[in-house]
Amino acid sequence: MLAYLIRRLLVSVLVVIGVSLLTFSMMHLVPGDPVELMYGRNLVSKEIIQNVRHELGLDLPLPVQYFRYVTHALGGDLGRSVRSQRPVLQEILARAPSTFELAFSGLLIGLLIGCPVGLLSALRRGSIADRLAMVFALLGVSTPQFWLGLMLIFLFAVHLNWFPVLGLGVGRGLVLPALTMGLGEAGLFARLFRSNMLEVLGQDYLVVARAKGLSENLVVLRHALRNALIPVVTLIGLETGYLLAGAVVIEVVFARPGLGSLAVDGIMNRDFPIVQGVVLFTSVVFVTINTVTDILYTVLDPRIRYA
Amino acid sequence: MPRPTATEETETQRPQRKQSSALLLGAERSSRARELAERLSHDSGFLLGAAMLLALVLMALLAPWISPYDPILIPAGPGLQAPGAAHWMGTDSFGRDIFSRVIWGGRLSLGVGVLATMISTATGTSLGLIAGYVGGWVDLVTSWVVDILMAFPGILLALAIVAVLGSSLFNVLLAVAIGSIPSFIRLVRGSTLSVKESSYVESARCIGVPPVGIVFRHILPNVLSSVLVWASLELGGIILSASGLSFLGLGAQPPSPEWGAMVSAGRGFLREAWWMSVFPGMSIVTTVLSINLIGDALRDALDPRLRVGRG
Repeated sequence: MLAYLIRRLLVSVLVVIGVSLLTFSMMHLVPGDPVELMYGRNLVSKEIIQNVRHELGLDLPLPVQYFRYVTHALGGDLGRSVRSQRPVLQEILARAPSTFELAFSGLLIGLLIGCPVGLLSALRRGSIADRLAMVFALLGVSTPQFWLGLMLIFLFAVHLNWFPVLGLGVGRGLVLPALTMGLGEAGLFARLFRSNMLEVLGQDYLVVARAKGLSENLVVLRHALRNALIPVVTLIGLETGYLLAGAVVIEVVFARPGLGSLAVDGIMNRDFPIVQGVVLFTSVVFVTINTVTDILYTVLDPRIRYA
Repeated sequence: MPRPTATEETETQRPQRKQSSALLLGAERSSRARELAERLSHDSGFLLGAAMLLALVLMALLAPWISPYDPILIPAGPGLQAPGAAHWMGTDSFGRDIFSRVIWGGRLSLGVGVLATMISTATGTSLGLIAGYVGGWVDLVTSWVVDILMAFPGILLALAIVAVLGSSLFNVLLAVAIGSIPSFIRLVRGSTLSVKESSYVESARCIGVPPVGIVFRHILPNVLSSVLVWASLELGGIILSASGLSFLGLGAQPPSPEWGAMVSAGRGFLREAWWMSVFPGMSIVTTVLSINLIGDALRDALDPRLRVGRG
């Protein structure tokens, strides 16, 4: 178990190093001079550009620059936004809670709708309810979130006036953005949960459980559900990342200030430190969550440890 | 009597063996193809998806002949006309016919999706074959890079790439293609590792088939069905990502009739002209839905091990 833990953590550290290399190179892969692009070629004098280059350390050799980048990042210094001149980390930390609230409530809605639907579908396999549920699940994963969000705004904010058009805060403003995120997730979870349940329901140990005379409810609850939930846990880990990324589009649709809209604004303004910072931050969060899920997974399913 | 040397044996017998194995392979392949066609022709989901996709592809291909108006040219008439007999899907704020723009937009949205999927499938499969077959440090490095690229969730990698390359539909195509390469590498590498150990690959190696021959003639055909299924499942997701990036203003630029960009243009007119964003969005849903129906059916028929991914 300990050996597995160490190996798993080592992999994550290597991945984070790679991620930092990639985000670091972003600025250097830009065609043209990033400083000129950021500040506008003709707006500032050569001297200022030279000064900024020096300030950012762009005149140093690449390995030195990377070393600086990593040591600064480890100390919480992700540079300054070109636009606001505020530290990137400060901007990120100011926006992150809003994105996490959105991602978390989206995940919650997805699980609360998706898992029961998947379970009922599996138990009533082939019924009209099952087929209908799977059509909705497929629609859920086939609908672009930016469009679903607009349609929800159109219906519930513009027409019925139940919720505000802008998706701000954690109150009524969060309902439509979270629903936009949750409906697609629900489709995904329903599909996964259904196929897991179907697989588990056919296993020998369930036949044994039934043969022992356990009631069908107990068989499903005690034996099938637990095993069918294991892949769902992995998916939750994987999905958190997608939820954070999905927040990009949803935040723009609902004009909700968060990490996603920060990144998109950063790209539009050619504010590279901001884009680098958000990408690095989100990926590190994603890697951390996945590492934790993998470790949780071994607790839930001891077979993994020996694989 | 001296035994024939290895070279003599292969000189005399190899052509024959090659022919018979080719014949056998061919026969087996065509019977498997027939079985697949048989299965799919009874799958109502597949039939529905295929019919929908065929209609969409035809619409996109025949755009110059079937679209009633010019998709780009701004007419003299008033804008924001509601759907009616003259304009089935209404007109946008510039008075352009939405229906015509949706038809032309199919070329962009489908084209970008298909091209990006082809790029990522070809690149990912090649790299996965190499990593899996060669092994050693090549495999280690490839797997490391795959892990890194997969650490960027969802469209974040594509977003970063567009941030570097600049906004354009072509860059979005590249970005979403690169973004989906890692999953193909991982899939193909895994299958290659298991096929590599099988006895027939071992025998092929023993009779002196060069590595390239082994990879292309013996390993590739075995991973191809998984690749095909995965590609069909990825295509939908790629179309969603690409249209999402265009919606954000990072892809297709106005006046290009890309569906995501059209939905974005309709955003400001939701109250007075719902049709501006409703119809392009419905086109995306229909397209991705039809592709997912086909992908699901292919998965069930060819490779049930591949579970529901992001579709």
